[in-house]
Amino acid sequence: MPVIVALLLASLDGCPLRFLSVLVIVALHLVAASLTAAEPDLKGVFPCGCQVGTSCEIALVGKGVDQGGSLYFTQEGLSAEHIEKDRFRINVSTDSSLGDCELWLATPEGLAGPRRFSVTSNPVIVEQDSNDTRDQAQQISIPSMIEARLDKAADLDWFAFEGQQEQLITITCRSASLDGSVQAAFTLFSPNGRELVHSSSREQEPRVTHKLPTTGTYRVLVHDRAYRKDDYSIYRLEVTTGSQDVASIERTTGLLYPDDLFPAVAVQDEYEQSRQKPQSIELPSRIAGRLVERNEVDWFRFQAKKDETVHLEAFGERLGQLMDLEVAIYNTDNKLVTTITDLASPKGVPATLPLATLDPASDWKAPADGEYSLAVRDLYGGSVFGADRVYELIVEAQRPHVIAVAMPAGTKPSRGVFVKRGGDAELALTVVRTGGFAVPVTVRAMETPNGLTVEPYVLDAKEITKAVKVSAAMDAQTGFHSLRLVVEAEIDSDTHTIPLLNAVLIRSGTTRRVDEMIIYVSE
Amino acid sequence: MLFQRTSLVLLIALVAFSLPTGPPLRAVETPNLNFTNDIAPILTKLGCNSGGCHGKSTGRGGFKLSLFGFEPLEDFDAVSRGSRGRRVFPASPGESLLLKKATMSVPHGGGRRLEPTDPEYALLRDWIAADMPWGREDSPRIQQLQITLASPQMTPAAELQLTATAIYSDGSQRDVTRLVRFNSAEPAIAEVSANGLVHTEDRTGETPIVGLYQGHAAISRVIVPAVNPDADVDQRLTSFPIGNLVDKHIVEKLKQLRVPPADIADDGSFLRRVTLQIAGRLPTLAETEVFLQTPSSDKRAQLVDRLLASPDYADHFAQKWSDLLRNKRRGQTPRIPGTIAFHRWIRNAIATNMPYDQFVRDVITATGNVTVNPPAQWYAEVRYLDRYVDDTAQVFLGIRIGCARCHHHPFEKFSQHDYYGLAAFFGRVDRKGGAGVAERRADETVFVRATGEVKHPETGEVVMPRGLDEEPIELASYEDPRHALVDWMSAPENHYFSRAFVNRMWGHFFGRGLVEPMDDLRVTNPATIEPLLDELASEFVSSKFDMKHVIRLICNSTTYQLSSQAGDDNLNETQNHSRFYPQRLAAEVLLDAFDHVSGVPTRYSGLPAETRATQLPDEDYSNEFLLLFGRPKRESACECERTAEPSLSQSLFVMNNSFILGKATSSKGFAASLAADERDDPTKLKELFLAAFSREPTPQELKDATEYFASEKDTKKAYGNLLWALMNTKEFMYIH
Repeated sequence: MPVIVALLLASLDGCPLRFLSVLVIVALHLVAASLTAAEPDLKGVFPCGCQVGTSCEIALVGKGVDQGGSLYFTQEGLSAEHIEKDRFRINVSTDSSLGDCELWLATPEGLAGPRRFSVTSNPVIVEQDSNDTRDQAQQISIPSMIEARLDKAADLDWFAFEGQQEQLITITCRSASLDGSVQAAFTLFSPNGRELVHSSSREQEPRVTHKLPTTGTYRVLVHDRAYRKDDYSIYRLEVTTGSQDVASIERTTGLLYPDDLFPAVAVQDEYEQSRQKPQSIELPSRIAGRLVERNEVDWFRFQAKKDETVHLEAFGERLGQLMDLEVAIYNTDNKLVTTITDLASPKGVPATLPLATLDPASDWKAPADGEYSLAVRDLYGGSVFGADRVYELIVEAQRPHVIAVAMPAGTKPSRGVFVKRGGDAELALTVVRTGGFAVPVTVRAMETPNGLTVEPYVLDAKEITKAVKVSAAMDAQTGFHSLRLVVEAEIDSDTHTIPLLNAVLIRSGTTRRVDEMIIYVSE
Repeated sequence: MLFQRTSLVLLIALVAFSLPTGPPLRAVETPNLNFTNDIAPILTKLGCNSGGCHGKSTGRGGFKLSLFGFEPLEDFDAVSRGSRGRRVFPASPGESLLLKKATMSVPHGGGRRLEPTDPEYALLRDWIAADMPWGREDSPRIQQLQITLASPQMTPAAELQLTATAIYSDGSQRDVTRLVRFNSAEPAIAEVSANGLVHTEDRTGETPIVGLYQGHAAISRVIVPAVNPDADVDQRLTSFPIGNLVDKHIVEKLKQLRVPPADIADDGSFLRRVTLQIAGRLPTLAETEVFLQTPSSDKRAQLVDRLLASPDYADHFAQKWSDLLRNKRRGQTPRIPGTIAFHRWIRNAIATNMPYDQFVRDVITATGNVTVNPPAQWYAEVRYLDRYVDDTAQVFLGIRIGCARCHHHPFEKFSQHDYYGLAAFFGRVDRKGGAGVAERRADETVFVRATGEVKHPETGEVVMPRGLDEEPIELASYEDPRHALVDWMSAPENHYFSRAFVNRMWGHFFGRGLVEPMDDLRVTNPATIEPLLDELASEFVSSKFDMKHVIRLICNSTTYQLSSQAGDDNLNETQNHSRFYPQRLAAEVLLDAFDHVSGVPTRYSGLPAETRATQLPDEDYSNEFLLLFGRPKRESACECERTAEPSLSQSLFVMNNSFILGKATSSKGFAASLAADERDDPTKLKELFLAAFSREPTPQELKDATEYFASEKDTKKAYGNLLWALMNTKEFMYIH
């Protein structure tokens, strides 16, 4: 701006034509600048948590995130004030629920997000930059929740705490569940420098519980397993006392959960299953199983009629496990009939919606009447096993099924649905039909916020994707709105509501479900 | 006319056939000739069935025999019936091609192998004349071979005849000296002729003489004790401190050799040696000063414990195991996370002192991909059936079994059936996913199929999994046969497993294994001190495969702590550890030593700033020094791939290359800091020598250095040059 003023002043040396020329040039420059103002590309939020009943400052990481704007949380009790550039103050009320929610950023140029944000019971400590060596370890207390990031490739982060003999501590490192990219490895060192325990790679977010052998200063070293660093390299190190129940581990998974396909778990796997004594199930069934022993194979048996088509679908990876399930079907002669492995992405589904999974799924036609055995195992099971290796299996007669997924249109990551008054935006709708589902579906909005309209769309039986237009009237209410879409199908004169999932491309290669489809209406 | 011509021809033929076929021969009594016992050994002794001749996989000149006669039935067919039986002529045995070729009566690419006057010629001739009998089914079979010397102790430049005796299943014995293939393991100590005549050289030492006959091996050891040893040899041997079982065996052997042990190494030498060999680094100045000043009598044992508890031990041995387990990147960037993860797993397993059998089990039975289970990375390089077997046998059993893939092992008892019995343990291994092509795939998932089998390549029969000398194992579907393999390998009675490990550790610390090459344990390659190897192996098993236990035994022994200084009485003794044998530092350790003493570390892209060369996860971190000094490319599972052979290029590099010069003379380095230090030169020189050699300078060295400093005005340059000179010495580059 000072340069422009200087130019203008310089042009005022008695030549009106020159002044006008400069003025035009300057005006064009300003218009161009406004036209190319950066659409926000939110890569991260740091720190991504705040203690309940307190306030904290956060910084947004990314491009175009320093233009101010407003933040939206998908949880009650959180509010934000813009401080300057990329910094905000978050206020968390005392009655906010603990746990993770989502944060969205809206600027005059766009809507970005979401990113996970946590409301914590413990104070959130921000990592100091200078903790790269053992001697510079950042002192923390127990319990602690440290928000950290890897500043450079091969970054090492050291932390130190005072521990008591016999004290049971749990160390957890989260990143993927906070939309981070760190695959963390950590080591706990004793006061005399001995390596006590190393985190395991069998968990995406490693956790270790250890009884301290002596009283003194302990150290924890954290780094990426392959010493990588990118714009999403944030993690949270939690050091708490006591152990953590395996069941309470929150799983963050892919896009589809068993609940989306089948009402509830009906069967738990029995302890003493074997090939000779498979567990009997009846169709339809949703089974919850665990692969506790090394190379464990869970056996089930069911009856099927000739030419009956049975849908089998297992969930392991999609439950957040590092797991590769396999389902094999045997007949009563113990001959292998078929093996079901990885589920491929259906044809026509966009690349931003990765439905391919290591979890097996298939429709299988019984060649004859009779009893069939199912063998369920994890291909990793020779090396990775234990009480936390849970899976679910759905076995049911094939039925027409469809799911719909709504995502902000486009291929740029972390983009929300942003519409200006009087303008339009698009959502990308994908419909996946299975089991012979061949009926058109209609998508429409429910309870659209004031001034927003969504034209109903019909996807015919063969259409997989559709761009759904969202329009904002000139007097549409500005701000954040939750857009609820519903997908319906007419089957036998009845209108059936189809489950609709909302998803966002978090970063290249990672798409996840989001709590709500947030839309921002701008001036 | 025609009648006359025909009659003449017939007459000539009659005369020709009635003439004797050769010179008169000594009659040989050959009742009940048996091809396996009588004829096949002749073919072996004459070299007919060696790998270079008819024992080749494709044979020679259209005549194929089994290698070293391990398949006598096949050889019988080849000799008696092959090529429409043209090799033998019972009606006139001397005209048999078999004999004519061997005696060079007709051109023979293999040369003259036999004389018509040899008893073997007569036996072959008689066998042919008897219409090539196979032999009775109840013929006795060889059970054992023995070779004996009248006296295992010989003097230098002496000769003694070996006697080889075959013992058969019916209790009979036969002198087979003429037919045994003899070999001396150490020709520098004693040689053995083709007929078993041992001739000792003018050196003290011991050598096993190996005899091979009909697939059996026997050993006879020749000991050449020192002649005219020093008068105090007995006293020195008697007063040799027995620290543990190692010393007990070593001193027994030295007594036989009449070679006295060297003196005990001084504290500085021991400190430097054991720190380099356990922790892969030089001792720090502080460590050196404290150790040298500590008067405690058990400080050496405490040092060993301290080093074993240090992270540097894990780093150093992780590198060794990364070599053996072929943790290799192959220039593929997608493999980097995998090689880093596998290296970290190895390192952490060593740091937590994971029992060795568990370590091996986790590697061999790995499933999954490297992200979730790092040992699966082993299967990235070990990809095919032959590699599964060869690598497993070489690394974990100390057996080079690869020969038996195509034929019977030439120097061991292992057959193809044994080979494929091991291969069958991997018959269910499969893989899926990953990225990249063939040999360069990254992040594959390794898994075990529900079923799977391996077939014998020649017979096509399914081979059941079985350990060596074991019965086949039946496994249910979905069972992982590799677990059964590890169960067999790690069973206490499986001497291969434990001996291979302790021999490898022995080789690490002493520069040569009790068996050399250290992954070639076989009957025909015996240990220098068999009882020591056995007892160390037994200790290892008893300790539940505690790797540190073996290292403690070795490092706490008096033998390990002997000086490397050779005297006239033990200079030529290079096998039985009368002194410590100097070894050049491994490439990574040497580079780290340069970095440490110069204070100028080398940086490695993509790794934390303080990463040392011994901590490098894979072979692909580009560094000219490491390549030049023998860092292996991890193309094989052989420790021999890492070389410590000196070369002119290495010397020139250290002397002239700016990489080394820069470290020594860096303005941020140790030499520069010493130069700027205000203390006097003798004090600083002492510090420099302690850092480089873990000892103080001798008076002469001090004098020479001081004189040099006086001649060099630039103090920084002077210290830099002096450091460079020290780095160029053998004392610096060797463990001694």
